[in-house]
Amino acid sequence: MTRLALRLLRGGGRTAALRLVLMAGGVAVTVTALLGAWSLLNGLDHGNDRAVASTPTLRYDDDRPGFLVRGAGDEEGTGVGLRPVARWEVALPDGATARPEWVPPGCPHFPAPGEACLSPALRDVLARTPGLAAALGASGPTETVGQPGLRGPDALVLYVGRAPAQLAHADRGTVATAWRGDRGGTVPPVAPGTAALEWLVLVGVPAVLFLGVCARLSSTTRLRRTRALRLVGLTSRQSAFVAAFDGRVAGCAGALVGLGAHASVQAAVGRAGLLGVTWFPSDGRVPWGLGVLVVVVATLGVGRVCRVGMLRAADSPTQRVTHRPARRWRLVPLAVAVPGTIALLAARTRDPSLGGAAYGYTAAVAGCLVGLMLALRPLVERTGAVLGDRTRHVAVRLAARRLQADASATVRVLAATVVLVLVAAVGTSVLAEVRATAQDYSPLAEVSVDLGHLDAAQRDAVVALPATRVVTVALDVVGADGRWEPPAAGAPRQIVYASCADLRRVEPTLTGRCVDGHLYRAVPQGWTSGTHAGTQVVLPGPRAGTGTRTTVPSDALVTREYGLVLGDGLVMTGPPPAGNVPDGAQVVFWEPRTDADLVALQTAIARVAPAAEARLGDAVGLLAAYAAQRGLVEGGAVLGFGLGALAFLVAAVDRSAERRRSLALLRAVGTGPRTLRAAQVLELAVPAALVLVPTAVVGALLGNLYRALGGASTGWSAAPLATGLALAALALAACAVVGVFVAQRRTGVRDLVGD
Amino acid sequence: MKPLFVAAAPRKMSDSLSKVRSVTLAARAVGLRYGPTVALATATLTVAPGEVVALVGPSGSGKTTLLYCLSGLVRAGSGTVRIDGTDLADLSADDLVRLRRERFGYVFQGSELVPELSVAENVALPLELLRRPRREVRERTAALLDRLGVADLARRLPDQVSGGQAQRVAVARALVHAPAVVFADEPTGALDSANGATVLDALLGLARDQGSSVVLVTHDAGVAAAADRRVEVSDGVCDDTAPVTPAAAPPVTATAAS
Repeated sequence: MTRLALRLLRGGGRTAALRLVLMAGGVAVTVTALLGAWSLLNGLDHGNDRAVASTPTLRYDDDRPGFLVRGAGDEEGTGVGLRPVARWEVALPDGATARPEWVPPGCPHFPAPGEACLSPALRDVLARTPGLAAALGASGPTETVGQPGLRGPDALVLYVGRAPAQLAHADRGTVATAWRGDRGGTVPPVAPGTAALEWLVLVGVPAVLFLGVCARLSSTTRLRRTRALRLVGLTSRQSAFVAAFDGRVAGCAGALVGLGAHASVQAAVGRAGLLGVTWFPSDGRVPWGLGVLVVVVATLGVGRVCRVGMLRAADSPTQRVTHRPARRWRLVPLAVAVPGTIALLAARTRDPSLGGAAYGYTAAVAGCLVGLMLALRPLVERTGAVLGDRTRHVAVRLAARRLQADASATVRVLAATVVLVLVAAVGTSVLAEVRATAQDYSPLAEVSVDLGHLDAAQRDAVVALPATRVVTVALDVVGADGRWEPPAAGAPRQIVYASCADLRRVEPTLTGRCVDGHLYRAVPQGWTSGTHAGTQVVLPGPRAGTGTRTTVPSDALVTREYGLVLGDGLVMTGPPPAGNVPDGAQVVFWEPRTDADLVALQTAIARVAPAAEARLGDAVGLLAAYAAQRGLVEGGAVLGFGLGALAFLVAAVDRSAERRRSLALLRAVGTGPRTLRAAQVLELAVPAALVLVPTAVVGALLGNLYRALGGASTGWSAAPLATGLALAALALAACAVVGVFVAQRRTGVRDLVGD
Repeated sequence: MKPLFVAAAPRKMSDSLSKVRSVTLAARAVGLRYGPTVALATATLTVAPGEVVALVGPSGSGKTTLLYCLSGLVRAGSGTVRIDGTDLADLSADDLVRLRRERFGYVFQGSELVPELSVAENVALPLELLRRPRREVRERTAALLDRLGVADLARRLPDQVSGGQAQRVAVARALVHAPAVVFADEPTGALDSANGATVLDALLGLARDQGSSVVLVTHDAGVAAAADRRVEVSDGVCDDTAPVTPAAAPPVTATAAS
């Protein structure tokens, strides 16, 4: 039977070969894309494991520490641009052995004081950004951190060797093993589950549709062949085997090509990064077991899809396939899902605290997607029937009757575009929501520099940077033993120097009349003020013990609870006087929204104060998350759109190929090329307009529901509808182009007798 | 654009089909190659107005190719095909389309109906292409379907009727616009003898009523016998200026006889 199937495959001619190539290509693209996602997720996973394993284990109750450490992992703190730096200052305590029990992972040896061990990516960054090395403490001799100590090839890791005295109050490490705690905080912060789900929707669904389209190519010819084989004596099972054979060959070949393509590019892609994630070749390599599984699933899966349409012909070869109109119940799910979505949106708008909304949203998306898919056929059929009965134009009638008689083929052509328009409309809202969340925090996406270790001139220079927004001076005291000492009774805990404009940007609800150049009392709402009007306070000067005595005014700036002014504080509306920047001051910059903003800021700081370490706030992480999410959605959408567009084109061309006999006949009886072209375009454009516009509207509903559930943005947004309609218009234009293209297909009188 | 071929002027429709404006079709030394294969070596043939000519000959002799060349479906590689003195080679593709639409009708072996259109719509298609008034289209279609005994199938799709019924529908479509010439390629080749006879009667009866010429390709001696004249095509050669074989004479080749 295999020989017969092979013989038939070989004798299938150009059309069969094209079908095979398309199917194999579709499988190859799908396998490569999905394995790319697998590499990405696996890279994240392995990278997380290594990052966790690289974190020094700390115990605070050990009298004889193996090493001293101060710093932070890459979840917080130091960074270059939006790329965090895992920076650890490490020291061996006095009297420690030359062979410590713990060596920073990936480093050849424990860094001596003044020595640094840094990752290759950080070495590149420092080479490109002069001045940052000193700020990070890596200006001395350096060694390189190897793969065991790195999350990925682009990880920025730095171990700085210090003298024990420099880390006298640092955390003490005793055990060299890693802890395996919370594995959140991936960098970039995309949850693997979310990434997998998004790629499944964005790439997986169009890929399955594409394969479905490819598998149904030349179905008329193959049906005839299956019937013929059955009639010459093959059993139903044997006929089904032959019908599935080319699918299996295509699936197997496509999977092998996909595996090969993935293997050949994954190392390079991993190094360069995909959607902001980098990985080592060993992390992204597909294990043998998974490779075999992919080949088997692709082979059997595509074969099964190819077999499905042939089973009836294999079972009953003499039974004529008659057209049956689609059942009306197929409209019911959409008729339920759309009002349900509207009701949920209305309820959520009325009551933002509505419970169970996430489940409702999932149900709405599933209902609308399934409803749209089920409704396609009856909608297309009905449109064809109505249009065909009422028109007098030959082109319109031809198009309408084709829709009516072969709605399934139209559905195959349009299904991918429907998914794409829906996903694009919802995706716009997802991105808008993430962006709104990021923008909520962007005023707080602060970078702070501690001026404590800088000399007076450098302090002035940092404060004079154009990006400086706030200078804060904490009046809380940390004693020599590291214990916190409260300020004197009645004294403010903090002095804040900021202009009224900057204060309002950070705190839009600020009340009270803020006038630049005045001193105000900041009282967080609902807190009891300890600093009373009339109290004498000393505004700190450049050195301890110096300052200006002043009286707390009665005006109060009432603020919400916010980190800029913690508890009682005094707000000096204006910059600190030049040459008078307090020793314990901290400079806060904000609104760096992109990686470039941040790098520019850090470079500027490094230029005026090379030793100043810029620390990144939490909101910077949110911006990084937004960038990663956007990359993920956009990357997946591009791949999915490509597959969807390919499915659309292939289905349209195949349908015209299947109709070449009919086209040849129409030409023979005198149908002009313009009429045929118009019929072809209308056949695609009419159902596309009929289906894609409602799809865009449903997508807008779902998108706005997502926004309503997310809570970061309010009100109805036209953006999802605009995106959906723009894509629908694009799809309509594609219909017109494809329609004209396939109508140009050359047919001759031989097509009438060719079959 | 100047009308190359004047379509039949709108006529008052009645139960009887109106007469066509007759044409003379003349092929002189027509030849055609498909690559190295000679499909038609040289064919000379004249079809007089209202004449029924049967092209007979063994398989592969070039009958169908000659039919396609005569009907403008394929351009001849050599020689000339003239319709009322106009050489088809001088016509543009658009002109050929108009010629086929206005003056020719076709019946193919496998009926070849447009699968998405109903039986009535298939028959009406040539009239729709000619933009005839809706009422005329409806009446003429109904009249032809009725005459061919398939009126009750009007709303069915082609795959819902039998082979004989489909071929009768194809005959109706070929004649509905009263073409000057009907080309029929093995019109009864796929039918049993009873159905074949019905279809042939319908085709020739209608054509003669309208005054249409008919050029038909056939293997069937009975079908050939129904023609006014029989022309043999052998090894791509045909010449009707040679002595004419009487139509009632026995088949000239074993293949035709079979």
